[in-house]
Amino acid sequence: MNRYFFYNYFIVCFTNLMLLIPYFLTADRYGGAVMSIVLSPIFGYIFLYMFTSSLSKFPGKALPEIFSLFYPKWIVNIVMVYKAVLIGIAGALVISTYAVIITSFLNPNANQYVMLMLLLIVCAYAATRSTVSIAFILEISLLLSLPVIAFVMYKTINNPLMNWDAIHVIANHVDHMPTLLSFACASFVFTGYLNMGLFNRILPPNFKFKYIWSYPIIAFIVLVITFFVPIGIHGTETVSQYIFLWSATADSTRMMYGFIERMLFVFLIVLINISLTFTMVGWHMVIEYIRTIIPNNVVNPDEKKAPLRSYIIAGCIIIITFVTMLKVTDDLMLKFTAYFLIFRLFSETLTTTWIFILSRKKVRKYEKEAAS
Amino acid sequence: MLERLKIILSPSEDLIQKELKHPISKQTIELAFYLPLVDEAKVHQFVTVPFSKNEYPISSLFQSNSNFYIVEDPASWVDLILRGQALIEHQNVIYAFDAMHYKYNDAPVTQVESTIRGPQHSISEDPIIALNLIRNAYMSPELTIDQRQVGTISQTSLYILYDQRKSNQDTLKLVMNKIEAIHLDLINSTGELERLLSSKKYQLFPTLLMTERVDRISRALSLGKIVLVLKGSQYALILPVTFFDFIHAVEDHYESFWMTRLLIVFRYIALFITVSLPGLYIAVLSYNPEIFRLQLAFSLVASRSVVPYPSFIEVFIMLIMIEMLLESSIRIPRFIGPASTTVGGLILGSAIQQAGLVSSVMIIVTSLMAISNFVLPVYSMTLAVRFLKYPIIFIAIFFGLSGVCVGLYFYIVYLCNMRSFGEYYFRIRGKFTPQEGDIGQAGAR
Repeated sequence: MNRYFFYNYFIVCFTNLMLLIPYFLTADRYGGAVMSIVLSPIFGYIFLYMFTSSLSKFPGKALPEIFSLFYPKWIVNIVMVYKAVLIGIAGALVISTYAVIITSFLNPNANQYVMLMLLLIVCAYAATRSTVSIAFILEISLLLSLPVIAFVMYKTINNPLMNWDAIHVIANHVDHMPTLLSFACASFVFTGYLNMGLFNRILPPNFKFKYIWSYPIIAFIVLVITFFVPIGIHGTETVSQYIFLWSATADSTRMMYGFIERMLFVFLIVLINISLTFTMVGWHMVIEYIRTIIPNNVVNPDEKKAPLRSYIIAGCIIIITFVTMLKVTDDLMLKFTAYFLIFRLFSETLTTTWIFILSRKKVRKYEKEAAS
Repeated sequence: MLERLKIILSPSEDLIQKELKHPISKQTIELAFYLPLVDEAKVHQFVTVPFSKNEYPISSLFQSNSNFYIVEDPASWVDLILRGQALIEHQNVIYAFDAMHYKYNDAPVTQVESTIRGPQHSISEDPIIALNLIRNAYMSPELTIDQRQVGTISQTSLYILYDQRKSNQDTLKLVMNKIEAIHLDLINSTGELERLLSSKKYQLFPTLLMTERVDRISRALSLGKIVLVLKGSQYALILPVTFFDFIHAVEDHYESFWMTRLLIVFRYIALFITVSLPGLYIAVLSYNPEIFRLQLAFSLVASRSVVPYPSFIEVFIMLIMIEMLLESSIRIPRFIGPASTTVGGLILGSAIQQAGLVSSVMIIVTSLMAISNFVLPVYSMTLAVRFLKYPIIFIAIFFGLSGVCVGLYFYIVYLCNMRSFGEYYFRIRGKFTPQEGDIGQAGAR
């Protein structure tokens, strides 16, 4: 059942690459972007290892259950609200960025907020499903998207406009120290393991994380492609002029044969799938985390019917996201995303280390019991 | 003998076990057979009637008639009784009496799920014939048949078939509870039963598979599924099922490997086409004609240039027409069935295009959609899928291409969320090893 871990890891990887991360990275292309791309898989692997090894000490337990083994209820509540807010923001950012992308590339006449509302409602409905269902949806939607993503990447790399000199020039800037923002962006791609903080619940009791060394390698290859290919296509200077970099890159690729000539539309259709799934997974985690705070919560990863509280939390998420997006301009959203990415870097470092220490504590406790 | 048979064979309603005692001669015989498998008249004629009349010593009958023969090895009992032999014990000697009766000739020909090279008979409205066919196709002592009466007035017999060893006990209990909970005066068809048994009233997809094919039933039994046979209905219900069972035709096992695999792929393509094509037509022509390459976009728009209204009205005209056609061809008598198709399909279709009410591309879209719909091998799924395009059309009217994608995504979410009697309805099984365990087990405390 390792594939379910694979899906959780790569949904984060692909979503972030397709949206704003390439923009921040290319903005820093003469600075530390290349170095942060080189460093981030190492950093990502260490934390991936720490997190998975500590989760395997707590089979079938999600983060709320793990924390409540060690701390009183109120501390757990605070931590869970904090985690939920952080994950919820990530989902909201992705889905609202996608609403902007749709209205700028696909339906220029449509009202952005109506479109956003549609996406929000579908995501929130999907997020209220049970954890097992979420895992199935994730699997199906990734399996449908991955071939198309691979196709888009392949076509873009084989684009005759591709200028390898530009890539070479940028790659030579590897000797710069990474900046905080570019490192936060690059390492964000490797943080898919955090989803297991909830999905550990559905894994079978004797589950073993296998092949985790390969995950950062694959994610690293994807990251390199997403960073360098747009540079090769647009050139070293122009590349920073696009906000939705990969949409513009896909648009410069032409398919000679077939119904659809411009790669952009294929890309946007996959992107809708990926971003809906990412937000669904994120908000499902929010719902499950917040639910543990409410008393009389029943933890059941395969519940037949979503309880009312799930719907209420999902409704709150919709309202908060929608109202915030009414106020926020695109420019402000970019800035906010940057701050959020940096903040998330520190927060995740902290949480992962914390869980790791807790798992060692548990091991030591058992060793002590065994000795006495 | 009877005590021993009780241990070997699973307790089943159709297993007849009798002990006959003659009041005058004080002789006893024990009699056991499967009711659907044997010709009951033959058993009466040769065993019970001579025995009750006490015409001559019954043992001499057994010894003189070549249809009876002595069985010495108890291990062969199961085999014999499953092959339609009646077992008779008289004075500690066990005889087998060949009363086997295949009822293939009484079975009707398949109407809905026809195949080219598979078996052509379907189960019958007569439950005894149906059970005969099933027992002959699934000759296992583990096959259990329970009987219930449903419907307070109709008192229709319902036979519940399952493999005792392979079926899931939780599912069985769930089904039994649901059957007990049915309170309805009249039950006439399995379709009615299907509605009563499915967990939710407003669900888009069938969670029970209605079939008339014996080979599908026996395969389902061997996979540990439960089969319901209703008296007076030519269709049986199989449960629990997954979405993929509905895409799967029995013929996939009979024909060449590669072609059947390819056909399964085509069925999924057909499913996609029939659900999304009208919605995509609206989305592309009204919102994003630039998606297609220039020449294609031109010819699409040019074919629509004579049509005086927006694309969705066009779609509605054609969809209403095609639904009327389909519905009328079911309702009208068989003899004039082809007439309606000719009038509707050929004459009306070409006339409506020449009159400029509908573009010629729309005619192609409609017919492609209708044809793809009937590629799906199970009728209940065909019906369910026939509905699915309407929400997609509505969302396409308001949101265009992204609306279609979101709508299809919603269907995936809906499917993944569905359960058929506790079993996951829509999931990729993948490689599954019991050592590793399945997801969702740890949490189900």
